[in-house]
Amino acid sequence: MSNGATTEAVAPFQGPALPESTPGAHTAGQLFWRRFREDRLALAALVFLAALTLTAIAAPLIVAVIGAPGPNVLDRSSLDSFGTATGPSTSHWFGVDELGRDVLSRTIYGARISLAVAFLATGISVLIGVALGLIAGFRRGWVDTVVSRSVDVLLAIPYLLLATGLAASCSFGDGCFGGTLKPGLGVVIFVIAVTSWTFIARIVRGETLSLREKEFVEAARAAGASNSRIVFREILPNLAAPIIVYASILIPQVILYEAALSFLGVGVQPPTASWGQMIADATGVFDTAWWYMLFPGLALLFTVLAFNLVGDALQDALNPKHRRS
Amino acid sequence: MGIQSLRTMSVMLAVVVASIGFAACGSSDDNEGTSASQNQFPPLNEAPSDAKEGGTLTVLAAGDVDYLDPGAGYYQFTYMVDFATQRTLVSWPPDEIKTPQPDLSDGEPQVTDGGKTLTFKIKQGIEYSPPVDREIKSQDFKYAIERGLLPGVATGYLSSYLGSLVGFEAAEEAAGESGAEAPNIPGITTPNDRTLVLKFTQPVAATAMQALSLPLGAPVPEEYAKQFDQESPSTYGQHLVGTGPYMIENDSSGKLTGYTPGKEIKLVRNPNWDPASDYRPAYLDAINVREGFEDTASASRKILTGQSQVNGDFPPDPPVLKEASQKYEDQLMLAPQGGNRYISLNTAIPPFDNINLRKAVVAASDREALRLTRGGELVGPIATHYIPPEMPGFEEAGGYEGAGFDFLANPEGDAQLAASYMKKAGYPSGKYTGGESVLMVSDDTGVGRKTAEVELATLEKLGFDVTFRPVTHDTMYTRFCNVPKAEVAVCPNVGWLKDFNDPQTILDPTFNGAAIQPVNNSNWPQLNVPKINKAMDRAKLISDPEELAQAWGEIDTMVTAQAPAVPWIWDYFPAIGSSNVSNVINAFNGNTDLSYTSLTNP
Repeated sequence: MSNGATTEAVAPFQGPALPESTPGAHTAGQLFWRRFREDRLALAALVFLAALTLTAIAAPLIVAVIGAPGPNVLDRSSLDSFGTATGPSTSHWFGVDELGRDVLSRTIYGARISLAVAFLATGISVLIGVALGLIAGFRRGWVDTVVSRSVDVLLAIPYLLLATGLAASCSFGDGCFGGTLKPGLGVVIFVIAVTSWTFIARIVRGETLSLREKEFVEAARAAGASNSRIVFREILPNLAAPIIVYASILIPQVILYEAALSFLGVGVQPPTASWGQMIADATGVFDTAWWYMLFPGLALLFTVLAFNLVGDALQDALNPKHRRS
Repeated sequence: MGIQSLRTMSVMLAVVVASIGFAACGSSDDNEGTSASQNQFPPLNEAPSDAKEGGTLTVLAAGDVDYLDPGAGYYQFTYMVDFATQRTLVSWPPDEIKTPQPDLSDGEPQVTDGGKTLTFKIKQGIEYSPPVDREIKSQDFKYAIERGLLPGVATGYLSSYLGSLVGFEAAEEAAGESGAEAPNIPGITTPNDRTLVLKFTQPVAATAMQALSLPLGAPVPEEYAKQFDQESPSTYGQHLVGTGPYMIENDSSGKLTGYTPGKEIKLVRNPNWDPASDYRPAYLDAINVREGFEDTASASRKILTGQSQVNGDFPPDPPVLKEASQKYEDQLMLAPQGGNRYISLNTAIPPFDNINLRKAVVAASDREALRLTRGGELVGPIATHYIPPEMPGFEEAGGYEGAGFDFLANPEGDAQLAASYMKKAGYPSGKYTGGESVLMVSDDTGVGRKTAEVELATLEKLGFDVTFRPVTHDTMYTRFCNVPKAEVAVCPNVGWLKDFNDPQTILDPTFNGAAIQPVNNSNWPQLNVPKINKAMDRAKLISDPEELAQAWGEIDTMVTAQAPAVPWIWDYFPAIGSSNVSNVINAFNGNTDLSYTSLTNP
């Protein structure tokens, strides 16, 4: 039995083992990139997402450069005498909504909401799921029981219903937690994060249960490594691939999730531009103001599609055994 | 009653009769165009001679009634249901806007003692709907008024119109203390089952008579209702009985089975209603009020292209209004409402306790854009004060042009003037730099939400950090805007319809400090200026029509000068119906009269 003293350093994880037969591949990263870029569609999707991210960051600049008004500027002159919206024109390329707000500008700004929610909510969700899954899978016993049953309970509740209820209750007055969580984007991110961690927690728990029995973990333990060292230096690095893959699959779901919450009226608050909110507002007038739904709808469609394509390609690149033929 | 909350009279018949009326009033170009458009879609105020009996009408609504309890309800849409189920002492045939006619009163009421005593003889043979099933008596009216003082009923207009009853104040205090027992108002006596006498400390009997045309003037059987009135809020509204041609479906105990809040109200014929005792024809066999149609554009199209439907509490969205005016002309009517719409600013709490800040907001507001949210010029002229056209006091308050206040001079908004008022308010940059967030609670759907977003943009341009909360229409009133404790700074979807043809009914419930209530409050800005309050109290006692118009016109000007709100339209309600509906509009209430409407193919 080890006396707990560490006698030698445990070799850090280097990434997936290089197949001996792959010509020209020197590092795991290069190998990954080579596999990824073989999927031309995913590459195009990645370029699209990069452009979208830049657009979201530089939205004010882009809107100014193209000469569009800000997303919340009301242009009464672009409405007809009944106050109905007018369609695409030289002054409003994507038309205006029923308050005279430029649809192109709002679509551009809407990307900020979708991407902010996508990355932040996914990031928080992954952090929570990985942490709890790791702890549950490694510690076993009552800790595992508590975490697993919590996951079971949360998974049994229709997540949209739960999210809608949480979002609605935090959308009044000062919000939740004594005003820490104010109605708006923060509530949306919080609600999505706390309802989305369960799947990854299960995956990580399962993988951890398997990895903790592996020889390299036993070796580390025999060498006197502490539990935290084993978790962070041995197990967690081996979870990188599934975590990355799952996160990339989760992102488009989160984007749709936010759109659904906004559509239901418990997402971001007006007048903040959100694709989901825009689509909801356009529902009643789609037959007379098609542009108002079309452009944010297309933006949402392409963004989700792009993330799905990139996610699939990541999965294939990180796990060649599962590559499509 | 709020714009969707008021009972009204409708000067509009005069408008329908003559666009000349507008010209004679010195209409602006805007209003000449408006009246020409509106005359294309005049409302039908009487049933066609070949009206048929039978069939079921469906009323589509976005929200719910506020309260079915006739003592508590104070909302135009609620009154649509009340007028079909609750007969009152005097009431309004669809083509009457100036003087109500006797209904449960047997003949004209008597005004004596220099206007301080009002006596009604009660009609015989009128019975309540099941399960009460007994003849009404004078004591029922006494109870109906007295229960209005209970905190669980809290009639919104009781003190405004009946506050001069002998012993009213003491009764009001007693009600506050006991909570569950309707206090006795000594000024209401019932010498016998058929006689109701109201004695006032001031000569207001004529006004009180008109006030009893509102649902408070409907009888309530004490022996049946008392048990429900002991709860707060009273649950009488869930066990309602009435005397109208229709009743809400109920079970043998009286519990309403035909009312699911937010979803449906089923009206069926009242088996105890005697058509010989009533002027109402009641053609329909049943009326289903279906609620929850938050997508008002789709609901409007459903009405126009469907069968046997009318709109209840929502105007059609502008695109649908445009379509209706161009393709479904016969199914659209512009029903004058005799009221106003405004965006109230809470004068009781910061930051709008500062008058210059309020003037800045009013100056900055784009009232043209606000009007466009409802359909543009077709739906009414831009408001410059509060008394609506054709009502006594309108001309005296400046007519369409208003009294000449600079902050109301430009209907498109005046950013420069707004900035100057901000500086006077103590913000040298011309924008608000105070730390507080301003709470705005609005409708969450349809034109109400759009109106709110237009004003939201104005407030944000002025530098305000606005916490914007769209909620359902009835929630907006019952939990937020009508509750001073909720401390809502801006209520963008309020307005008022006149209760009857007296400017007191426009200004007193809404801008008199004495009218502020802890719940069911209609003085949304919580304006409480002693000089204005006193002027109103004096004006209430005037009986000479010219003096009355002058006095209230001056009061309107005083109120407008305080900038408690952004008045933006004196509007018409676009009533739409399916092609097989003979949609009769009650000129008083400004919407469908269920007791006169019929189907062409029942």
